[in-house]
Amino acid sequence: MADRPQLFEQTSQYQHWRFTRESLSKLRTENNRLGVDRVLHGLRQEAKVDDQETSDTRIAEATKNLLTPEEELKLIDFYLQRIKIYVTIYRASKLLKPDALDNVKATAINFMKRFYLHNVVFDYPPKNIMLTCFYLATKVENAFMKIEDFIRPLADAEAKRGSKTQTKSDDVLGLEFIVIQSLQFELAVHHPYRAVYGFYLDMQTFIDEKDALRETYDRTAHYIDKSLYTDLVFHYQPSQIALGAFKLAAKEKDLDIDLYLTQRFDARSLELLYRVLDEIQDGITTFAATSNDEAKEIDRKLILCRNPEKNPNSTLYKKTVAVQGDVPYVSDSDSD
Amino acid sequence: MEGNYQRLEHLGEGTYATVYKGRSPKGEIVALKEIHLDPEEGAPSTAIREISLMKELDHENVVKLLDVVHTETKLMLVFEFMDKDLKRYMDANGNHGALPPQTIKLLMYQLLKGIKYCHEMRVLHRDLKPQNLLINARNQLKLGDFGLARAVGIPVNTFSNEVVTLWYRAPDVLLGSRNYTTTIDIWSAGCIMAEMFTGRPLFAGSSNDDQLIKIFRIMGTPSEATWHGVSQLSNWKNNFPPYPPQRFEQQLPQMDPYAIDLLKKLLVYDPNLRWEAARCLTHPYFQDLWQPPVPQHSLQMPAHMHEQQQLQQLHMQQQYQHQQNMRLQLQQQQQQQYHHQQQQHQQHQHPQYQQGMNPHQQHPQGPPYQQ
Repeated sequence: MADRPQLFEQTSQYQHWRFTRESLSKLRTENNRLGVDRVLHGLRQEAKVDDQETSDTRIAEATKNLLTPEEELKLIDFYLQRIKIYVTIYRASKLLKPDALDNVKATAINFMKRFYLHNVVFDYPPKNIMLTCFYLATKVENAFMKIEDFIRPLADAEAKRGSKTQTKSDDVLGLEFIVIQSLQFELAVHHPYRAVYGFYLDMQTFIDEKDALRETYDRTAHYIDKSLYTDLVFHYQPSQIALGAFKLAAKEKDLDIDLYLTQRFDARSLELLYRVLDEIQDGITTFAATSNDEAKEIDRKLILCRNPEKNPNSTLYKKTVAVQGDVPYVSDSDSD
Repeated sequence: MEGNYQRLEHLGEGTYATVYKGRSPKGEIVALKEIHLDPEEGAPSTAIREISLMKELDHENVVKLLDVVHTETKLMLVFEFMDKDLKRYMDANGNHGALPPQTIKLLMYQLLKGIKYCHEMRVLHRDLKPQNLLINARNQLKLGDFGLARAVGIPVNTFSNEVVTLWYRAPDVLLGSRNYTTTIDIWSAGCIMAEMFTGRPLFAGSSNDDQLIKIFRIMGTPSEATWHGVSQLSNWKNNFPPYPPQRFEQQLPQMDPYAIDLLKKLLVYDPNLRWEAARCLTHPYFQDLWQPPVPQHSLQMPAHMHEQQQLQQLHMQQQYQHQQNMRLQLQQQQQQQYHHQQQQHQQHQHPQYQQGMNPHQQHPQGPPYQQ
């Protein structure tokens, strides 16, 4: 059985959603470049159906405000952070069971990160994508709620803020298939939560300070939560991230878990593991979330460089895309 | 996305979808599972879960998800095409639904291989029944319809009003256990095995309680003595009528002693004592499907080819009456062989169980069968 692949190596997460730092950065740069091309192409198309002068100013404005790959990432991150807030709203209204919270949150975040490896914010602004990813995550993680229940707290919050726009169920469901498709129908995602619990149980036979171990384990949730927003999920396995979070929590609680590691792993694999764990700890501690001001500034630019082909409010969309409608996919040629 | 799949004929209604035979843009025959989008929830969560699980599974005894397409009102899962489900296969090929013993053995072997793989991948099917086991023209059996399947460890929805056939449901689940484990699929496999021999469902209850009574009548009403912890289950009643256990040998005279012995490992009251699928595959009932281990670097047939040969033989058998007669003779020989081995058995205490002599286990990843 030794040559059988590990269970995790058989998952789509391992096989299709793992990147080196270089390949990830290249993928995002290329993705952004293609997105920019689509924006400019869309604007040129729009110029054909709109008057010349408006189009010229619009193209000039857009070109000046096109987002870089880094700006895209910052904006996406800002909305990833919002998922955390929404989770607490749904928990408060008892729409999400406590045991489903972590997985729904982590899966929603992961979906959104994966989505923007193959899409750009010019085509799909992150706010609604975030909601669609969240709603999809509730289905995948078996914490399903009706769309009206999902929308209500959002609408309430918007009303309270006096927001001009109000989220409707179509905003969420309309994007569902685009999201599922961009995720390549690979919806099973593995998180560090279960692995970290496994380590906690395993450590109990090696570490005598039971109270400190318990406190350390409780603290890992904080570091795992932080790791979700980073790119670590694209580079490391959930169990490695779990152990990295454990090391950070242990440092904070002054608990020595090296005793456990040296007894669990041989010297050679330990050398490799320590390097991986250092990188993971670095990744978690150095990550800085996007501030409100940064996000506002990028959002303002985005309004000017949306792809009109995907923007229901654009002149192009209203005049062409909406008219064509969808092409049927199944022919009922033979009766049944 | 706008792949041009063509509907050919209506095949049936699944738990939450309509299934059609269809043709892919490349001309392949496929099964199209059409799911209506609910304005209340978009893509149904059952479909989402089925997609998420099927995308992770890749095994010759699990039906393959080939594609997913979508329109404004429908989501369509495209699966490899399978000719029949086991129910229809039994009606078509059986004697009043009862299949020949060698056919059953080959189907059971594949069923347990599929279950073993799912369980290794931490997936519970939860709804195994003849209608969900699909068989193609080459007598390959594959597990299908994962609409109710779950990843192991996820607690089950309390409010789920999913309608599931009761007949294949494990007694621990019927008695209210929420602790779903791989053992529930093993119980279903036992029920299916018995049904293949008789052509009739083993326990055909009409309600939760009736289902329990049907089980109790044959297997005896359980007690703390025969099933530790049974009285702690939420639906347990102290006034269940006390039926004595019947002997499977009398209830199922069609089954040879090895088959009966395997059935007794599957249909065990205490879920902790039910055999795992991997262990079932090493049961001597399957020994004539095993091949002596192939020496390395030899040019002999790999182990999986052996099984394919058996499948082809089976296919021939079904077409020629004189071969059917030969099969009956073969069966008698096997019986004699069995009695001979049974004597050895008693002396050696099932050596195969301990050593795991199944060569397929060592070569689990054979290429798909081809003809």
